[in-house]
Amino acid sequence: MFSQMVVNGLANGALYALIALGLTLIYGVMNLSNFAQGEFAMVGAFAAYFLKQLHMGYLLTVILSFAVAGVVGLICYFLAFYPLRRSNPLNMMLSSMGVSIFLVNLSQYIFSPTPKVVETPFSDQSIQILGVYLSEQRLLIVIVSLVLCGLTYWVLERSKFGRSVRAASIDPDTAMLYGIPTNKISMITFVVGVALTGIAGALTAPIYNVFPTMGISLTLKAFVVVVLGGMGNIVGAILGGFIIGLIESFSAGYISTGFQDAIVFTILFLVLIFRPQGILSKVRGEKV
Amino acid sequence: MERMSLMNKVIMSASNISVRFGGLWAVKDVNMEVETNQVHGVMGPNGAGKSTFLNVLSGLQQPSNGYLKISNQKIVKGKPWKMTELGLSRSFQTVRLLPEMSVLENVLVGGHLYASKNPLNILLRTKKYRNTEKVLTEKACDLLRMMGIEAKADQKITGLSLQERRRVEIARSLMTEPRILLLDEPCAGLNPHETDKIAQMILTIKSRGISVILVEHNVRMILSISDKILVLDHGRKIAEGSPTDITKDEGVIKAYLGGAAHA
Amino acid sequence: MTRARKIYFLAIAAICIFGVYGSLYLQNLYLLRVAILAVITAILALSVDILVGYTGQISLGQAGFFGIGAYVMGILNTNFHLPFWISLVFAILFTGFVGFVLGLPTTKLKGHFLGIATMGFGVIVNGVLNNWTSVTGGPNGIRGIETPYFFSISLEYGNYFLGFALASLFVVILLIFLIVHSPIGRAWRCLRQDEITAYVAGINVYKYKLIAFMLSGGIAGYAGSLFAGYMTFISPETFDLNQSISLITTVIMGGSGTLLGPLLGTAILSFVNEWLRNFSELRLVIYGFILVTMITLLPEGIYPFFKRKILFFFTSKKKKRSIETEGSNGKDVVNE
Repeated sequence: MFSQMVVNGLANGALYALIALGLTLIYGVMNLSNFAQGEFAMVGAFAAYFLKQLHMGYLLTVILSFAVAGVVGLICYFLAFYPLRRSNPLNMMLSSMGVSIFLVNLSQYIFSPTPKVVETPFSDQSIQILGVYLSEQRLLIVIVSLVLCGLTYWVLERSKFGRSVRAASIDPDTAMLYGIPTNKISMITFVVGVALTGIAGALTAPIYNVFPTMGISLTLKAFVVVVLGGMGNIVGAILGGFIIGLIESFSAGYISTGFQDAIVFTILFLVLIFRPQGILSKVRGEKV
Repeated sequence: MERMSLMNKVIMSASNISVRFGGLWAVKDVNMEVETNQVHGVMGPNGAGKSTFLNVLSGLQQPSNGYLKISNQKIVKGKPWKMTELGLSRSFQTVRLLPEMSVLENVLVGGHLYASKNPLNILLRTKKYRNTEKVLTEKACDLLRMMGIEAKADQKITGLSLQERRRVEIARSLMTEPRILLLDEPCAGLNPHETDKIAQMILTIKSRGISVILVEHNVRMILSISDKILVLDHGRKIAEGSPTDITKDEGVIKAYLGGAAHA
Repeated sequence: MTRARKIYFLAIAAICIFGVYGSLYLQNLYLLRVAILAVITAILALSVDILVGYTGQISLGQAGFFGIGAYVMGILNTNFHLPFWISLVFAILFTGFVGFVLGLPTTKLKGHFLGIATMGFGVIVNGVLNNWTSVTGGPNGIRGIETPYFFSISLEYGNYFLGFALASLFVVILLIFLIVHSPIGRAWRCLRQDEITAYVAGINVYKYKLIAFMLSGGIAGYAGSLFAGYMTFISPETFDLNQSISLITTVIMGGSGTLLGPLLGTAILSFVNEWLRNFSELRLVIYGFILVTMITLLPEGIYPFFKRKILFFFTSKKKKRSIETEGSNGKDVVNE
């Protein structure tokens, strides 16, 4: 029972980590709290569903969902965020809420609100590891999430491009003076950030089914994860994803599934009160 | 010196103030006593810890060690607005004014402590409320007149020159009726003529019975109007005394004045 | 100046009286319903504007206050059989208190963090309304809330309710106007623009943010009670995140930090919402599109934008005076 909860929590956590990673990257570079983040998981999931209808292999649809979410992200970036790049962050945030409403309802119009099933070759087979059952699909989620998180971290820390991204997130104006194309960087970050979320959507599709409003609770969770890990902190987002996954799993197991969201947000409040900088980041004082 | 301190009362003292940023002591064991009716200069080369010290004095930075005392009241955890209530007001090196408000309103903000904030008075617009607002507005106008910018009272901050902005900021500080006024490089970015005007103004403020703590890079100006000068270097106090003493001090010459023979 | 102001005031008072009186003659029941809901939304939008516009605090959880106000009314009225007006007082006081409690931790937060925290507040309230079934009735909500009598006039008639709602709106506008143009409002505007300046001016920043949260909560709670009294039935889905988002959008789109902006925003969005009913399923798709377009094209808000344009139009006529001075005079009117 207990160990099963831990395993389920970690599996969900891997997913949250992947979505939160995109969110935190976008926040770091664009200073945007992207309320449409979860919607890109929905886009990815529907892409997987649609491509599966065309008799493609599941793994191929997962990879293509990355591309589909990326392209949708690119269009949204130019229509909703690029014009506001010098504006108040609040306006960008509202714009992302508009994008969210648009995407949710558009998919509702196209695909109808009924949940869709996506078949996967992995779904029914469970494997037993040390007395706990883990379906192959969940195992796949954990592995793919961890690989993608690791890859993103490696690119950011080790590559020249990653250095530019970090520079742009610390100080866009100075970065621009050093010849870093900050607008291009924020475009790429946004597209990659939402495309990663698209993969997350395609990965969960077989477990939780696909429906237009699936992204909303994912967005909320991702925000809690990002605050927990420290806004803009990559490692924090990954770690925070697992922590929230575990907390959720335990609260569902020991308290009630109905209060799950309320409990997660209560934890968010506690973090905001006692460690507003997140569990990993150091305090940065305000400059007078 | 002895005679002076007997005549003037100490109204503010800072004891063993130390501030640590990571492994670096930005300010270390600095003591200071501010007396009534004095211009107390604070000098030091770049990075000497002047700004940090000033932030401690005005409650914007908590010291790692040491404490402040204002009129014999020890300040344990100084909330910045408490310092203003206790009679200390400051200006900033990079002028901090509210761009969306007019000059007059910017000054009126400084009168917050004396404004009528009782909700009943506000909602009923009682006579008491209207009177306090009127008195405050008149006071703000007087201060603007004293600063010589009453003609621009209704303008926005954006249309003002740097020197005028500094004057508005000082007017706002005076609006809080301070006993101690802290000026952070009031002459930075001004030409010699404007600097002289600001110096003149500081003396006027002093003549109103307000002590001034003056941080300034302009050596000539600070030496000419200060009664007492504190010199910081690498976060430590290296000298304190009258301007003439300071100019003769070996350590100061070595650390700071160096080739500044014109001083 | 004072004389111009007096005329201005009288004109507005006349509009108010005319509005309340005129509401009695509105015959179309559909329009009546839309108008009443729009007026309640306008009160909510103004409560958001206190935080977002005047104090510079983000609120993504206003539906939480709205819901608490409605539920306090519903519970006291149906379970404890308290009259509408007494429940109303409790609802306002309680939401004000909730605003205070929410403010205690959140006044220390800024920007995105505050947004997420207030959003969390809204989600928690919604979760409680949905799951605390024994008190709130869960997803089924509360039925049979009494529609009030105003002295001996039953507000069950839409026209009378609209009149009452409009009168409430005008009282709220007057209340906000008086507070914003007082030292409290000055302190708010100061801390919105620069907290450090507020410190130096001797303003207890946290206290004034708390006041804003309490006032905003109380007004939203009032709107909630009004809503409960009008609908006589409430359920959690009215008070969800979408409601909060729609409210803050109304304010930003109309023009935050002004009194007319949120009213204009409410009017436009209510109209757009009704008009979009023609598109049935595509309704919210177009709504989202309009929202993004409005914000990207007019980030400053509709009211300030047109105000600036109109003032600019008049300044070009008197070329003698510089645009700078006129522009600043124009902005002053906004503050008054």
